[in-house]
Amino acid sequence: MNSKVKKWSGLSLLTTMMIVVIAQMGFAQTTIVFQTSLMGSKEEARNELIKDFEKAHPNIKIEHRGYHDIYKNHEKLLTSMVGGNPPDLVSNHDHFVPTYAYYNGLEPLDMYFELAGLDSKEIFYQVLLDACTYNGKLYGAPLFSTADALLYNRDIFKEEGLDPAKPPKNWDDLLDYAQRLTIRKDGKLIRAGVELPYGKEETRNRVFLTLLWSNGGKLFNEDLSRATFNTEEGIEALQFYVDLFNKYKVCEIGWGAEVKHGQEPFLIGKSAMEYAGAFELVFINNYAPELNFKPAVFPGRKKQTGPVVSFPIFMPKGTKHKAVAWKFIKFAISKEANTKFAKLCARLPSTKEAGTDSYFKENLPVFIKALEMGTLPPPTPGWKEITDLIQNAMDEALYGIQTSEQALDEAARKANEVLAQY
Amino acid sequence: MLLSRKKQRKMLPFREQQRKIAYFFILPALISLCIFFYLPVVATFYLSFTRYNILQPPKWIGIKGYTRLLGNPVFWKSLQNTAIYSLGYIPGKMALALLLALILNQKIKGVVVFRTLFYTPEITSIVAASLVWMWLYNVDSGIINFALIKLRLPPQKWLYSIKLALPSITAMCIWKDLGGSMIIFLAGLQRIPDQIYEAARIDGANKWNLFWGMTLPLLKPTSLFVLVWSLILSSQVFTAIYIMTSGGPANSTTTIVHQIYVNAFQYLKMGVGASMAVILFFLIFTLSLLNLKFFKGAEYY
Amino acid sequence: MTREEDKTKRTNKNIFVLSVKLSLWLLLLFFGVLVAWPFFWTVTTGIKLNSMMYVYPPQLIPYPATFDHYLYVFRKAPFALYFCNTGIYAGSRLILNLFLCSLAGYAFARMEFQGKNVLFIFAVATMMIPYQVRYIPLYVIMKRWPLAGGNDILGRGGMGFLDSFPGLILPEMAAGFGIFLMRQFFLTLPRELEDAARIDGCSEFGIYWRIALPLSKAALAVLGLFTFQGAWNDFVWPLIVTNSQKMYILQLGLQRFQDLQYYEWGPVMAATSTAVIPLLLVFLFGQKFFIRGIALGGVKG
Repeated sequence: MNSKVKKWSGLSLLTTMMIVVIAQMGFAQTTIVFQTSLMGSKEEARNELIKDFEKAHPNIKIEHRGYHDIYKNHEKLLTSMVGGNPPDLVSNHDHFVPTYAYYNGLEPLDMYFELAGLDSKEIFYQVLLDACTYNGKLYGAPLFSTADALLYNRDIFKEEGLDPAKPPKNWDDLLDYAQRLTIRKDGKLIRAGVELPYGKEETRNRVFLTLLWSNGGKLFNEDLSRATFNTEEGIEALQFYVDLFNKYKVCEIGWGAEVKHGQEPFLIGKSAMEYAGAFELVFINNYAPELNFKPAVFPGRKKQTGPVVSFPIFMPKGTKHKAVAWKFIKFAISKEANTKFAKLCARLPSTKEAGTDSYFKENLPVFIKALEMGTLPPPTPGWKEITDLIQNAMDEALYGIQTSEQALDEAARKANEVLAQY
Repeated sequence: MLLSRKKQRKMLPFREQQRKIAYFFILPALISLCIFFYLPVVATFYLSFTRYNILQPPKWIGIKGYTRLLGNPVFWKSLQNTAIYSLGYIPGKMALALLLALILNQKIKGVVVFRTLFYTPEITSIVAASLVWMWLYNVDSGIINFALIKLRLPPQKWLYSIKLALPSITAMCIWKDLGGSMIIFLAGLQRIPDQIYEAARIDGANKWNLFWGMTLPLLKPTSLFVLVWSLILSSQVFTAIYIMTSGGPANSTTTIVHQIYVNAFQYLKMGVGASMAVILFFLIFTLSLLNLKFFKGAEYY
Repeated sequence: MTREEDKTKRTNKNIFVLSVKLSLWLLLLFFGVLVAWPFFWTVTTGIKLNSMMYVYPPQLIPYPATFDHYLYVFRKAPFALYFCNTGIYAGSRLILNLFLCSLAGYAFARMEFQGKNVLFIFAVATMMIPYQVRYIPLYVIMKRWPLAGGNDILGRGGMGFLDSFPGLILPEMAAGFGIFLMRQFFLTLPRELEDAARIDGCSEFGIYWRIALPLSKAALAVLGLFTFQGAWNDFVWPLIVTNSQKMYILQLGLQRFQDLQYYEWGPVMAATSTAVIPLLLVFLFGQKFFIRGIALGGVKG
């Protein structure tokens, strides 16, 4: 064969090979495993997010594994990390992030944000960002969040001669209004002035945090080596909570317990006010749409603030498709996706951009405000243990086993032991 | 030479062959138990002397783990709660199950229907069962308080009362598990042939004598099984507590396995969980051994 | 007394006895329904109309009934697959347990060999290990199983038995519970049968297979029921060892519908009912081994 033919056949062979390789890259599909607790009320939002992402990125497929119990999600992640085959992305409650990060189980995301030219401080609400930061590194990207507020029934306010446009602004008001709104017949509670969480409800710990922080108290000292919730502010906060139950009797243990589906006391007018998270609005929409109520920032003594909970997406260490997984995170925090997600599950968005959407301004202005003014428990791997200690202290004070001071002192002492480990 | 029957048996020639074959009989089961139960036990025993957070390799701390555990009041409370629970659960369940088995061993019309009715709690999912019972125990709208009020008795806070939370859970667990024990007692009663009862009746025994003198003793192997099994079950109670009270209020319902779970998987202190499991294992082992020795010689005919 | 008065007296006595029996029967029925009520509630809620779901006082018998919840549930999740998987898992565990545990139980009850008592206690002690401390070591064992799922001879490199049927079934293929139960029942078998068979030249295995087993139908039914039910309702181990949707068993598929915060009772109860009804059927089927007369021991040969 002469050299010309050789040259052309060689070139065409090379070109064909290149075309095949490039075509493969185009059609090569990567599957990302995404493990979450986004079930039930969040299922639709999650499905849409995944669908939208897959439409925008046809080469990437998301395999979702859902576990509604956040602890089952957590156990599954633990075992898969032990086995060396963790999912590519996980979404769970933010209090897990410091724990995983502390034990070196997560991939820091700072580098990805930098390379993409995104400033995380600009994108997210500061408070949510803090929850995902540990030791100066960012380990999670918040997907959505929720905050707590005081919901009050305007009709009942009117009935009792209170101005429905003026919810209580501080503790004294709260107590005063609650006493006026409580009805008891022969000692039996007919209508609770204010319904506060107790028992094993998720919002139970948060109400103590709200009271503590709004009284100017702090959970821990600056370097997280000592618990400071048993200072005077903390004791006052716990005592106020206990008094509302036991001394002023404007609420009761057992009131509205385990009742669901439209029979909750606030929904049927048996509680005039209640401490609730943003997800309560979903229930009201579904079961009591005609309820004339309004959310208000929970009254604080020295300042207005409350706890904020976020649900970040984070990346376990040791996975294979990090760059592709990052694409999903980037998509989820874009304005459109973030707004859509929060709307579909009636929660709050995690990005400031999404928070400017008129939907939130109209329907959840109080919660957005709470998000902006909110405080987050400082990230420590021992958070679950300390939360349980605080819960126990609340129980002991509530049931009169110990005084508020004794209960908090004991909890603080044990919390210091926990903090010492980290 | 006057040899006891047992000794005579031991001298028979086929004993050698039987011994070898016996090992083959138990081999498959035993190998399975070794790999899937004892290997984890060895691992757990090792982990009990370490600090292990699951995400990183375990760190040896020796006996410190145990000493710290023994100084933890919540650990002792959980042991106490488990003991109180067991003292209510074991006799309650065994008595009810035995009673039902005796009744449903007769030729009553629709006995199969009755047996099924009393067995349904076993197959009801624990989640659905907990839902229903939490509703029953509801302070305002639960049926139990409703009935109490009608009877002019004070309504209680059940799952939200420090004194009553554990008994409330005990009642639910008895309800859930009695079907299983009832079935085992029934199977045991089946082994007792009618002829024995006939013979005794002819001899002039009345119903009471029949029960105490014949039925109960003949049920010994079965009862022993139900006793040891109930003891093991009650020492490991977990799911009901996890769903209904999460150990509260004020740690009045946390049990030892609940503490194992919380420490190992929620606080990521697997070493602590392992130590608790080891202590629990030895406690139950000792108690069961005592039971087995006490009921020794359960062979008849 | 005249004959007439005698007769009336007897009739009165009969009526009295009859009415006592009837009231006791009704009492039993009352308690039976009470005990089975959560089960009824599960099933009836699954066919209740949404509009009647939360009314107070609650609707006892759903009329009109709707199968919308079932349709919704079947459309949302591949129940046929879940049923298949659960059937394979439960069925395999059932057969393996029946065989291995009865073999071992027979040996422990009726054969003499060295270390019999120690090994028996060894087997029973496995019941005392709470599953919470077993499953992480078990996970590692399954993953590192040599020559499985891409592993080399030292168990490295692949996924072992994770996410597969052997991974699900193996850890529970023999349980201390079964060995204990079968041994207690075999203890009640009459020795004469055994001796007679041996004289006839029957092998040990033959005695087990042809004499002991057929006489223990009730015990086998009990063991089978418990094993099948345990496997059918098992949640934790399948959660840990499986990953892909195609290996899901019923309980894992069900938890999709169980968001405890936002409960849609209709679909949840419909889904739960589909998982529970097979257990009920298995129980009813097992009942025929409990009819008096079948499980009697007779020295007929």
